[in-house]
Amino acid sequence: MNGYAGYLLRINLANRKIAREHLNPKTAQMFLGGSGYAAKILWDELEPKIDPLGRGNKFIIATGPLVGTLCPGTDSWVACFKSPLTNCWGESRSGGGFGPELKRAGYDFVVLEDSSDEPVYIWIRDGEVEIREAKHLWGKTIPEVEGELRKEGDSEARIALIGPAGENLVRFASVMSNGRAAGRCGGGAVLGSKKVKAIMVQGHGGVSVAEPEAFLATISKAEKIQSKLEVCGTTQGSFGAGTMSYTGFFDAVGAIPTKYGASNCWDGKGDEFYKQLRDKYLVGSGSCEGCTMSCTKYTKVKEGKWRTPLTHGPEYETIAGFGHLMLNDNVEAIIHASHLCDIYGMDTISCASVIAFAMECYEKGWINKKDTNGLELTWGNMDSVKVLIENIAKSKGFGNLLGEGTKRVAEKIGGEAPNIALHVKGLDIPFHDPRGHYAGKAWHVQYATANRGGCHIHPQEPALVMSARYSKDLGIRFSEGSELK
Amino acid sequence: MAGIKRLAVIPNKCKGCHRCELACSFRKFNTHSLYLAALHVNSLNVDSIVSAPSICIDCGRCIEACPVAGALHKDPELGTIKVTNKCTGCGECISACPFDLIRINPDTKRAFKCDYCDGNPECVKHCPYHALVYVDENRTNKLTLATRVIP
Repeated sequence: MNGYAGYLLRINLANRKIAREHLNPKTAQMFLGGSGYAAKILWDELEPKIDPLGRGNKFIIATGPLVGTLCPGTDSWVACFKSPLTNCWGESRSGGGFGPELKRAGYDFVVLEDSSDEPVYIWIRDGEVEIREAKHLWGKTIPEVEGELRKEGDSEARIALIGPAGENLVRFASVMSNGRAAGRCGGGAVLGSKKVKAIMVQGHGGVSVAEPEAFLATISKAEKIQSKLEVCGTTQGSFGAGTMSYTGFFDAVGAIPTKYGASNCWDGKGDEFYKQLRDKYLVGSGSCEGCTMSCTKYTKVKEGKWRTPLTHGPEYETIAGFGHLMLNDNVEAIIHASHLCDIYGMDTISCASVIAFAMECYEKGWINKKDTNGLELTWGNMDSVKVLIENIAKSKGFGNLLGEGTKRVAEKIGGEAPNIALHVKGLDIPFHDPRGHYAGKAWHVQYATANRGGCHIHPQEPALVMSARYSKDLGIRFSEGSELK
Repeated sequence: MAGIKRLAVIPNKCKGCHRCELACSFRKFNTHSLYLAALHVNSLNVDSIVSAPSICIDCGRCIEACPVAGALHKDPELGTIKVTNKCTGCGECISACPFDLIRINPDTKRAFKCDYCDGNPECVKHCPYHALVYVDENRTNKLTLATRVIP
């Protein structure tokens, strides 16, 4: 098959049956792309009203026909599942080379069904697929597991895995791969409920296209256009500082939720964060496979209380979440918090949000030190945040409650708490404030209508499109000054 | 040899994206494959992540080990060793190469290696960061890529 590998790998973790199924070409055509095909599978195969953390849920690793090709931006795989955070469609995208490697191994999709009683990991090497025992990996952090698994496969193997947070069914646990995160909606918890610690894939095949000459000509055209785009070269590209570059601009236009939404900017601190990160802590750039953007940024905190080894990011959302949202202006603490979320495997947006939400509840006296195991949850108290991140990942003490996610925490606290919780369908809204001058009120429509809940990017920041381009055609009118010009 | 051009890497520009490998296998074999590429990006995790493709330097070990007359042949114009259709896929060159830069294509059963795409290298065209260049040999006098890595 061209584009597609042509096969779906279906693994039942209870009876250990492994099946290699042909892709349905009609389905592939009607539901173009990875998440489309996966949605069809979940729609057809999941019983209604099942518990997302029970045996009835399925975890799908989905790729599309362009994954693994020279088309820019196609190092992609999407985790698709019923979300334990929202009880509806869960979808989370990641990079890091896993998608292309899966295609090269000969599969477009992996469908994990039912649950194992014992911890396992899935090992895929071209046509060979094994369910291997993972007791020796259970409880370990992301980097510890990657180190162990490297010994069991060649150095080019790609691994998608969960940390302690996923194992402990934290509802916003992520699936990590080569430093990147399929962060949102709690996919890590679904894998944890199935006792799947990791999926490791090695592929020595190739991805072909129907018309190589025409394809290459189009690719060359696209590369030429991209090389002239400012956003590729400066902000996101190898010459720039990635998404951290947005922090200054967004603060200046009032687009960063601050103090859990009490305000939408913080006196230019966004610009300070960006400059400190760029000048003091940024140590290099990297790139996902075949990508022309090189948006991956590495930082490091060499010494001191917040010492952090070489780490990916922090990206814009993480900076806004562990910075503005909780009134913390210590950049080293932001880097450290980001790193902890990475090694434990948690979505930084939902983790920062639930902690900031707890800070507001603490300020209002709806929870106190008795509830928080003695932790002072004052605004910007990163010593408490550090302990809390670890406790959430390990489901310890107050962290056990917070790991349920903002919506359930708010319901548990009761009273006014659910009225101030910032989520849609249970998915915490990301850090683009509708009161600011970056797509402005289009964010309301985006957050309210996105498939997976409070989401800013799936499919691709429609808020920007709505506000900038098509508002007149769509009959959407925004108040003066809130449109992006 | 006057006028020979070589493929070389500009340090620190490589972002480890593997795009050059995909371009290579696509040009040579009409498929996107990391295995079927004639250059290989390696990454070292140091203080940052340092990456660069390893590229054949025509050390000559392969042609020395080759038991089939004319299967490997040094192109006088390009200055690089090329695999000809006399290759039987015996694998002696594979054993001789310390850099994994000559491989067997399992479909054609023949060896393949970098041959500068007959003077118009595909990898250079697709590197987004301008990390790869095809320049006069005399400008490329630093060999920094023969690095042994513990896997």
